[in-house]
Amino acid sequence: MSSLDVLFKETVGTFHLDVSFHVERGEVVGLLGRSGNGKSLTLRTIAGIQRPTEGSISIDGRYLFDSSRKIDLPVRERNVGYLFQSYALFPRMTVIQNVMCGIREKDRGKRREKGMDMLSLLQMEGYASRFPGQLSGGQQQRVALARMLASGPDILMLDEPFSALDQESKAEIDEKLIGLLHSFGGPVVFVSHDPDEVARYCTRTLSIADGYLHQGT
Amino acid sequence: MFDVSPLWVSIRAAVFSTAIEFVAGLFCAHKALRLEGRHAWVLDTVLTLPMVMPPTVTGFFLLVIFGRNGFIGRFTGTTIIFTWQATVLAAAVVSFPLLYRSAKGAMKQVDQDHIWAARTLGFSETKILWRIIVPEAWPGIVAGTALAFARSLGEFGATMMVAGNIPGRTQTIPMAIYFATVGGDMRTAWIWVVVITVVSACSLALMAKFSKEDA
Repeated sequence: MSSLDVLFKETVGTFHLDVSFHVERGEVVGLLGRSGNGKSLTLRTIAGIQRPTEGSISIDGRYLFDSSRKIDLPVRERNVGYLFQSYALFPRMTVIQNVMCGIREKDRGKRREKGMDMLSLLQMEGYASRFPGQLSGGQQQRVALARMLASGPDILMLDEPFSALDQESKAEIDEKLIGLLHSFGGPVVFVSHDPDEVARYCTRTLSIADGYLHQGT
Repeated sequence: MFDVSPLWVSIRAAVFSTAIEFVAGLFCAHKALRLEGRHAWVLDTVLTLPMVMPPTVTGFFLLVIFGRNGFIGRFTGTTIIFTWQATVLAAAVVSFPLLYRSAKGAMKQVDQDHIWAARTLGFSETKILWRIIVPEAWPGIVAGTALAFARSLGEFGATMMVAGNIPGRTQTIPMAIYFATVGGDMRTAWIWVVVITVVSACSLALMAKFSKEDA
């Protein structure tokens, strides 16, 4: 069993979220729905940023959260890759320093080497010593992807990765990203409000409306 | 012979107190933000009080705590009252809120997603403070540090209460100005007035320059 299992209920103010789904290893599942329907909240809950009222979340049988057994791992121990909608690059660090942040390796030289490898994979090695503020939206997204992948996460979660990009940048990153997501190997959850986007990137679609998840094709 | 010792006493008090406040201020600001909503207001009130109270009141409390018959004095059998360390203590307590509040305001502006992203990458809370929050809040922290330094340099009331006016040991520039004026030595008073105005203006100007370049 190598997969992500999610089943939880959550209440934030007057909003109720009730989701249950399963993502197989190697699957890229699209979470489709309009904004305000609980897509991002679902990702934040899996990452541990939000705490559900009840339920359980596990990766490969390793429990990140289980209300019945009072398991609630802190975010830093969950080992989940999270691509924030805003990319959340650290503005005071260079591109390479950002990527090195997630690499769990004692030796600084080796960390740097791994970081550079990851940057070359995304064709960003030429920007290693730039600061995020000096990059275009598409370039920032690649750095954020590199940083997430370099941390060796068990699952990947992408929150509206294209919302901050113009058409041109979208086209530029397209092929690369499809390849990366499908070669990752672990479960991938892709959040979007755009059905075309989900159809292009994902192997399966789940729609979410008013906090309820509908299993689709 | 003109006695320059108040300059060194003042600078020593300001440098040591600013160094202590820097570490304590960042620590408290970080703690206060993480407590936000619950008991944060208690911490906030206590830590800001020295800014609005008469310095003599702050000095009075310090005497009660650190005096020979105070809590700490009785416990340790010794006191720092009327020593140069007392000038540091008085300056640190009185100017602390300036650093604390600036740092807290700046830290509050740090993008929460950056902090969450750091957590997903496995950062500990201490590492997040030093690698993410402090660098991003740096202009505000520099501004607070400069204000606190300038305020420490000018501390008078609390210093008077706990450190006294011992020339060469606890006589700071503001103290020298007061006693020179009271004693009718206007020349000495003028010299120190000019010195402290220039030094304070320089530290504020440096702050303005640094926080602009960093923003």
